[in-house]
Amino acid sequence: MATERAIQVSELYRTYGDLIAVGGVSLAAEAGEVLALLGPNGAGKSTLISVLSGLLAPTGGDASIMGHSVTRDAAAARACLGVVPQDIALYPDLSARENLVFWGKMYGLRGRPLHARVDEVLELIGLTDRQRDRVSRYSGGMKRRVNIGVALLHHPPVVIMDEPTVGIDPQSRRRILDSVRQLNAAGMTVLYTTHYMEEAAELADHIAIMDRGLVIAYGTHDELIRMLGSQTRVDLSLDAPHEDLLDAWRAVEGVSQVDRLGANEDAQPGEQGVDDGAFPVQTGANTVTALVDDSNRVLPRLFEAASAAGARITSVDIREPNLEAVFLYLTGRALRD
Amino acid sequence: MKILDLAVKDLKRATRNLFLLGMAVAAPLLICTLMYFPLRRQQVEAVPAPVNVGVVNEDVPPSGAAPDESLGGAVEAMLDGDEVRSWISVTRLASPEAAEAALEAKRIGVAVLIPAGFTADFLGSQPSEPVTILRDPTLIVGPEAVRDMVRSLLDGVISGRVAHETLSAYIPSARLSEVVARYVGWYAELQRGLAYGSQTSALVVAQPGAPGNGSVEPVGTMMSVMMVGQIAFFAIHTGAYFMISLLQEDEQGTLARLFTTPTSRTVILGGKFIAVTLTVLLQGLVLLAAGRLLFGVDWGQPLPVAIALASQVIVASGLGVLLISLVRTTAQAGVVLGGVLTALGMLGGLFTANLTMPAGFRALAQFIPQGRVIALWRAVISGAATGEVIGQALVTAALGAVLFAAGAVIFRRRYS
Repeated sequence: MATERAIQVSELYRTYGDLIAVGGVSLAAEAGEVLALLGPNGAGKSTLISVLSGLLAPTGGDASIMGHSVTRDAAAARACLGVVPQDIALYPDLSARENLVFWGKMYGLRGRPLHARVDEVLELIGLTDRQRDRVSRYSGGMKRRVNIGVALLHHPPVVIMDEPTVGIDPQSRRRILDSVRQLNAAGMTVLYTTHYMEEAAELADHIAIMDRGLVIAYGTHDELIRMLGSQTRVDLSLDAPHEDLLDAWRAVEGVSQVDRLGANEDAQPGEQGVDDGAFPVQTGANTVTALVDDSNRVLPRLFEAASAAGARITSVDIREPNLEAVFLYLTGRALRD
Repeated sequence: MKILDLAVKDLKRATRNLFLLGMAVAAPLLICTLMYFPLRRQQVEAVPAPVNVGVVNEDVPPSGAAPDESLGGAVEAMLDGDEVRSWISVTRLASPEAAEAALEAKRIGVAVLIPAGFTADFLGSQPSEPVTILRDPTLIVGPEAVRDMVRSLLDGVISGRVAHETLSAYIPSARLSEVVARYVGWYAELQRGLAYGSQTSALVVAQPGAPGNGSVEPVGTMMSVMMVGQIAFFAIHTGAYFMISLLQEDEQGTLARLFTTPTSRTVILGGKFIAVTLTVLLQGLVLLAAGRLLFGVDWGQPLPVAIALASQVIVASGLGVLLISLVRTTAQAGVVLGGVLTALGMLGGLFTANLTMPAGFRALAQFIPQGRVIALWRAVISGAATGEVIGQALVTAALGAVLFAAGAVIFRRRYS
C-alpha cells in the first residue's frame, strides 16, 4: 500500500455562529484505502464532507486532497475528487448517457475519450442497455448507480461517498458495496460515510467514529472493538418502560453503560423495526442495551434488579462486540439515537 | 467551453419541459389565434360585397354639347370611375323596365334611372323629373353608397346652378354647358382629392403603421398591436420561469454537485444566464415568425425588429434573473410568477390601452420592463425611424442590464 496521504484533514473547524458542526477534526486517509466515517445523524459527517468537496469553506484549519489544499488550491483539489452525494443529484429529464456526458464535460473530459469513458462507466454500473432512458424512469437503485457513475467519470484518485445506500433495496445496496470494493481494488481512495456499522465493518480499512462534530475514535475495525476489552453487549426487552430500572441497572457491578436502543415513544413494546430498510433492529422504547463485563455473571443480577423493580424481561439478546457497542461505550448513547 | 456546455444542457432540458414550451410559445399563439378569428370575421363582414349597379341613362346633352356633357353622363361616368370600380360594377340598361327586371332577377342590386331631358330640366328653372334609384330591399350598404354618391354629385351641381343663376347675367347662355362641364370636372377632382389625394388635400386616408402601403391587411395591423402585448408578457414570463431552474437545481442537489466539479461558480452561473438569454431569444424569433406566417403581421424593417428583439431579450432575461434572485425556493418563485409579473404587467400597460391610462401610469410604465418593451414594439410596427427605435431600445436594454447585473450579484453572493 502506498504511503501518500490522499486525504489530510488538520484541525478542521466549521461553525455556524455558536453552533459547532465540526470542531477541530484531524484525520488522514492513505492512498488506496477505504476510510469509513461512522456516526449518528448530526455527528458532523456531511459537514466534513462538504468542506472536503469544496461546498463549504472551513472556518478554521485546512484539508487537502492529494496534496491540494481545499482552501488555497480548490480547483485542483476538486479535480482529484469524485463526489457521490447522499441524495440523487442528476437531471431527471436527461437520459443516463446524457447525464454522464454532461458531467464528464464538467470534469474536463471531451470528445472521443469522454464517450469512451461514458461507455465504460455505463458498463460498470450495469446500465448500458438502459442508457437512452430518461433518469426519471429509473428505479431508485438504478438512479443510485448513475449517481455513483458520475463521480467516477474522470478517474478520480479519491471518491467521497456520502451514505450512498440510504433508502434503497438490498439488491442495489449489495451492488453498491461491491462497486466500492472494485473501485478500491482499482486503486481509488474511498471516503465512505455511513451510519450502518455493518457497512463500515465490511468495507473500511480504517474507521473514524464521529459524534457531535468530533472524531471520538479512529482505527481499524479490530482496534476499535478491542477498546471494549472483555465487555459484551446485551439487549434486554422489557414489558414496560420502567424508567427507574435503568438507574438500578447502572448501579449493578459489572455494568458500564445502559441506554435505550433507538428510543421511540411511538413504538410498541417489543416492536420489530427495520431501520432504513436495511438492518433489523429492536426499536421499541422498552428495549435497553447494556455493556457488561461478564454476561454470565452479570445477567442474573440484572434479572434480580428487574424483579425488584416489578419489571418483566421479555427477551435477552447477547451480542458479539461490534461498532455499535463501541459507540455506546464511548458516548453512553446508542449509535442509532 | 464549459459555459456553453452548461447552456446547452439547460436548453436541452427546456425543450423537454412541456410547461415552459407551453407558456413560452403555445400560450401566446393560442391567445393570438383566439383574437385572430373574430377579427378576421369582423373584417370580412366590414368589406362590402361588390354591388352591381344598373344605369338607365336617357338623358341627352343640351343642344350643341357633346354627349358626355350631359348630367346623366356625368353620373354614369362617376359610377363607372376607376376609383370605385373595385366595388361597383356598372351595367348599362335600356329602360326602366329592363332595370326592374334585372333587379327582380338579382342581376343588379341597385338601379339608377336618369330621365330624358334631365340636364335641360335640371339646368332650367325647375327640374320636372328627378333621378330615381331602385334598390334590392335585401341590400343596405351598396345602394346607400350609390345614393350618397349621386346625391353628392347633384348637390354639387345644384350649388353650381345657384352660382350659375347668380352669375347668369354675366355668362352667355352659349357657354352654359361648358361651365357645367368644367364644374363637374372640378368637383370630381375634389372628390378624388378628399378620398385618395396626397397630403395637400383636405382629407388624408392612411393605413395605420404603414403609410402609403395599401397592401397591409387591417387584421394584420390589429394583430401586430395585440401580439406586442403577448410577446412582452410571455417573454418576461419565460425569463423568470427559466431562471427558476436554478432554484430547482439548488433543491435537487445538482447545483451543489456542480460546485464539487472543477468548474468555477462564475462559469456555472454564466452558463445559466446564457441559457435564459438564448431561450428568450428563440422564443421571440418563433413568435415573430408565427405572427408573420399565421396572422399576416408586418413587423416592419428587419433592422428595427432585430434591435427591438435584442433589447427585449436583455430586459426579459434581466428581470427574470433579478426576480428569481430575490427568492429562495421554487414555492416562493411561484408567487413571483403569479403575482409580481402580473402586477408589473398591469403597471406596464399590458392590459390597458395606452391612451386610456392616466398620465401618471403612462409615465410609470416607462420604468417598467413590460411597459418599455410594449412602447418599443409599438414604435417598430408604426414604422418609426430606426434612430428613434435605437434610442428606445438602448434605454430598454440599459434597464435590462441593470436588472441583470443586480440579480447576478445577488446570485453570486448567495452561491459564493
